[in-house]
Amino acid sequence: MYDPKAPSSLLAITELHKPGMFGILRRMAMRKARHEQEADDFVSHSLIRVLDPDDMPWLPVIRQFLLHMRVVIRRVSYRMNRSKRAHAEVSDGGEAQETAESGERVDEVIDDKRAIETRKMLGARLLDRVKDDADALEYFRVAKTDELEPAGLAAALKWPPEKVHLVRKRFVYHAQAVYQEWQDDEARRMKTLREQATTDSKGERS
Amino acid sequence: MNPPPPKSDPALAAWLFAEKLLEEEDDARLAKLTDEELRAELEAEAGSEPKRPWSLEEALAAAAELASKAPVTGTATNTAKVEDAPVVTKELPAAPAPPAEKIAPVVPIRRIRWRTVGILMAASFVLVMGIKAAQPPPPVGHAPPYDPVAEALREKAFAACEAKDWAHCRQWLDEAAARDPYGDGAFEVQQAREAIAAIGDAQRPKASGGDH
Repeated sequence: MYDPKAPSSLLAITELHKPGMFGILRRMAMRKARHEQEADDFVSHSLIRVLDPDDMPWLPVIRQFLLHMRVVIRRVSYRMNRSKRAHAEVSDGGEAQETAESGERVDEVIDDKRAIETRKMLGARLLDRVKDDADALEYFRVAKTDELEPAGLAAALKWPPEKVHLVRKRFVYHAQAVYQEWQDDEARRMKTLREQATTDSKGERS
Repeated sequence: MNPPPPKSDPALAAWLFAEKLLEEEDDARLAKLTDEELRAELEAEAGSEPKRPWSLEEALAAAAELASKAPVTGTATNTAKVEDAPVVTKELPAAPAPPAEKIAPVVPIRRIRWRTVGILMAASFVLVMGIKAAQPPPPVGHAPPYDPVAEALREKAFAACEAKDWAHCRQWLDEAAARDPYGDGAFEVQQAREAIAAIGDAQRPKASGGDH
């Protein structure tokens, strides 16, 4: 329950009052958001979760405040984005105007759709890589919806914690590989485009 | 009628999840940094500066307002159970009317004074008896040890009395009494002292009469 007077909340609010701290939080949220309003939504929801002793309170012995807020903002943005994009999925091929929620500009929705397409492509590659790994698929199925700590995840999966750790490591390895391949592809594509543009401009001059 | 819940693309869900895991991997590296290094690192990776001014107090007020409604995020384990469930902000049910002020009924106080007193007395008695029983018994009285010197003095005193040497008789009885006061109460001793006193009384008027 949201309780700004709880001991952990008071500690967090003290940190938030430190010079420049709130500004960094907003910028961290900006990195995850498409526009300022969304970033501020992330910040508000992150504050709710940090000031809730039963949800994600800040415990200084576990990690630094900024690092904790990074984790919280990531979880908030992950959940809110997943939810919003799920909504975008049911637009049955409509135009951007149909999917634009109130307050969202059409170009932002288009950008978002491009990002969704890229992510879909990367996700498809990732799923293709792990299609024969039943454990990784099961891990993904359970872990994607429930925000569980490793011990809770192990209990939900009925696996020993070591197995959870190993499967997670495999999943991350494949994701890194997919991302790296895509980055290399993009770099090659951009290089080709630049070379082509240079050739074209030379051809026009001659 | 509500629209059916939207179906998310598993590929999209997979990559969003992968992005989250990749960032979590980075947390382990960041956790090893000092406060200054971490701040510098996060500032470097953070997004652009927002243009809209927004203070911490405003953000806290917004968070409080959001928390008072049905939050989108909610508690970690509560809201994400149903995958891709639509975000529905439910109207909170109207607060029930406050209950009418209740008046406590007058309950007669049962006076159980005598029973309480009885119980207390019984408890005190048991306590006293217990303390008494726990104490060691008082030391038993016994005669002072036998003093052969006092006994010899008294034998001598009796002999002196028989010889009508009253002065020595009294002297040795007194010495014996000094050593053994308990023995001075013996019947023979008392008889001897009475005889000395009687002789003394009989002699004193003569002496006093002689003076005049």
